Formats: sequence, structure tokens, C-alpha cells
Amino acid sequence: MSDCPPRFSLVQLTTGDLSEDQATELESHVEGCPPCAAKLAALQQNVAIFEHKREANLAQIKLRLHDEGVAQAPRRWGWRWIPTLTAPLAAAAAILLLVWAPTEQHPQSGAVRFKGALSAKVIARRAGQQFVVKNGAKLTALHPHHLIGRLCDGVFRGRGAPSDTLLPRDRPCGDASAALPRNPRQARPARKRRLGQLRGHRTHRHRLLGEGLSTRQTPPKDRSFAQN
Amino acid sequence: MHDRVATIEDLHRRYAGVLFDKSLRMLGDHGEAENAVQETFINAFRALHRFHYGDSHLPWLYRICTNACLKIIRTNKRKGAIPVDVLPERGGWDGRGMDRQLQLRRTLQDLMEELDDRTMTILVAHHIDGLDQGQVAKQVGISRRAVVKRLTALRAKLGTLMEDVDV
Repeated sequence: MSDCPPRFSLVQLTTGDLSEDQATELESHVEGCPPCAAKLAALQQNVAIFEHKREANLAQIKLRLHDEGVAQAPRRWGWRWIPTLTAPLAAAAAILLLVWAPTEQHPQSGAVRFKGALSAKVIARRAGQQFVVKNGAKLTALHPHHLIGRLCDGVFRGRGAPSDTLLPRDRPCGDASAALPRNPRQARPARKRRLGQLRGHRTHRHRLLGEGLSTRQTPPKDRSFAQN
Repeated sequence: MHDRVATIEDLHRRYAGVLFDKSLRMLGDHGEAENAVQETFINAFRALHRFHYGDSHLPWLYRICTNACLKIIRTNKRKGAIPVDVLPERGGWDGRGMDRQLQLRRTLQDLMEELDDRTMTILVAHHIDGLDQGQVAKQVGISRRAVVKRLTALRAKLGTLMEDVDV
């Protein structure tokens, strides 16, 4: 009895999961071992009993799969992220709409009013290479036409700027004008400012005044817009 | 989807009979055994993409079937149900009668209160399904040495109860 194969081997013999050699060896053992023969006979008897119920059992399984909706197409991993990203994408779209929403426009000068802090990134080109001007760098050390993306007639105000600070609209901007969109609603600094506000970032206080590029001078405040 | 259903049909054609035998030996009731076979193939359908037992589906299906049977035992114990369809002339197991099957079921119910699920799976796989230690290790996903240690601890803890479980 101790040399008998495990019961699972008899199951494998019944289902045909053994190799030919293993099956032959096991069959020869079962022929000479009454306990194993009895086990195999009981197993085959139960299998024969189920044989009459097989089709009904399978039909019920299919019915349950259909009812439970399990039989639907499997969700592949590649598409699972879509519902997950729906909310962030919607939030991003909302932010984009907020940024691109029309801003209040000055009736005479055509300037657009922004409130709050500004954030701007000044990019300069020197010796054919572009680089970002760090906060606090002396902009006077750069030639004006080396600057890309500046608002030459405008004023970038840092934190605490008055609410009626004006940015120009549709005015020539020297060498850097090509780098800026003509529509100030599409101006990158404005978008960055609003995104910066939403994220709570500290603003870069690059101030450009006219062609002088001074970081020290403060532009005259135009209160006319506020009065309107 | 059709591929998976076709796979389940093939597996059902090949293995449902032996799974019924296994369920009947654990549950001692024809109706419950049929339900266990159903549960096994439905759960197999859901987990078909995770199948990684090698060439044969049989050890994998056996494990799913074990879980289905233990769930039925647990549920029936909670409900206080007692299997009645265990008449020997309707097909028994190893020539033993109703008393033996009821005794095994009660023993399993008692053991389920003391043992965790993994240990129960090892116990059923080795003592009821007749898998050797290597096959149990592969089925459960732990080392053979860990299986031996658990079985030794079980024997020391349960003593004569194990004789009721052994087939």
C-alpha cells in the first residue's frame, strides 16, 4: 500500500493527463493492487454518473455566464486607463478653457487687464544657443534682440502688482515680436500666470520695461482702466 | 470571448467528471457537488487569463474546485444545512457509506474554524485529493519544504482527526 501512487495519479489516468509510459506503469500497478483498483473504480463510477448530467451542467454554466455578464469581451489593460483618466482630462480641459477665456479689454488702448501675480520665463539666445534667464539675472547684460519671448512694450509685474496693470495688445514688439502671439489672450505669460495661481507657485519677477530691459524701473501706473 | 467560452467547454468536457468526483467526496451531496462544478468553471472562466500552471489545467481546476467546495461548506454551516443526498447506492466513494462522508464533512467544518484558507487548501489537496507534496507545492505556490512543514504541524496538532480526513 505504501508503494501505491497518490490518488491524484488515478485522476490523471482517468483524464488522460499522464504520458504513455506513466499510464502504462500505473495501469499495471492498478491491476495488481485491489485498493487502487477500488479507488479507480469508484472514481470512474462517479465520472459515469456525471456523464448523464454533463450537458445540463454546461448549459447552466453558459446561462450563468451570460446572465452575469461575465461573458462580455474581456477588458484589456490597454483600455482600462481611459475611465481613470477621464476626470483629470476633464479638469485639464476646464483649466484650458479658463486660461483661454476672453479677458477684459481696455476700450481705448486695446490692452488687456490681468489681475494678480505674473509668472514669466525669459529665454535668451547667445552664440546660437538658447537658455533660460534665471530669476534675478541682470537683463541689461543682454542685448535686447537676444531676448525671445519678452513683452517689449509691456510690463510684467510680480507679486502684488496692482489689478489694473496693463499689457499691450497688437503692438509691434521689435525683434522679439515674431516670437509672441499677436493675440494677447494667447500670450504664454498670461497662461503661466493663471496656471501658477492655480498651483500656488511663486512668481518670477522678471520686469521688462520698454526697450531698456531694466529690472529696476517701475512702469507708470495706468489707472484709467480702473476708472473705466 | 468566444475563445474563452470554447476553452471552458473543452475543459468541462475533459475534467468536469473528475471534479464532480472530488466535490462529491468533499461535500457528500450530489446537488452540491454539481453546484461546486458550476462554480469551478465560472471562476475558471473569470481567471482564465491568469492560468499559469504549465501544460495541464487539472491542478489549477482542482484548486478552484477546492475553494468552491470550502465555500459551500462554510455557507451551509452558517445556514445549519445538512446534506441528505449521500445515499451509497447513488454512487459513493471507495465503497464507504453515508456515515463516512458526513463524518468527513463535519471534520472539514471543524477544521475550517481553526485553520487558515491556505492550510485548508494544503490539507484538502494532500489528504483528500491525493496530490503528493510536490504537486501541492506547485498548486499552492509555495516551496515543497513549506508544504512538508505545514503537513507535519497539522499532524501534530490534529492527531486522530487527520485519520478522518485521509482517504
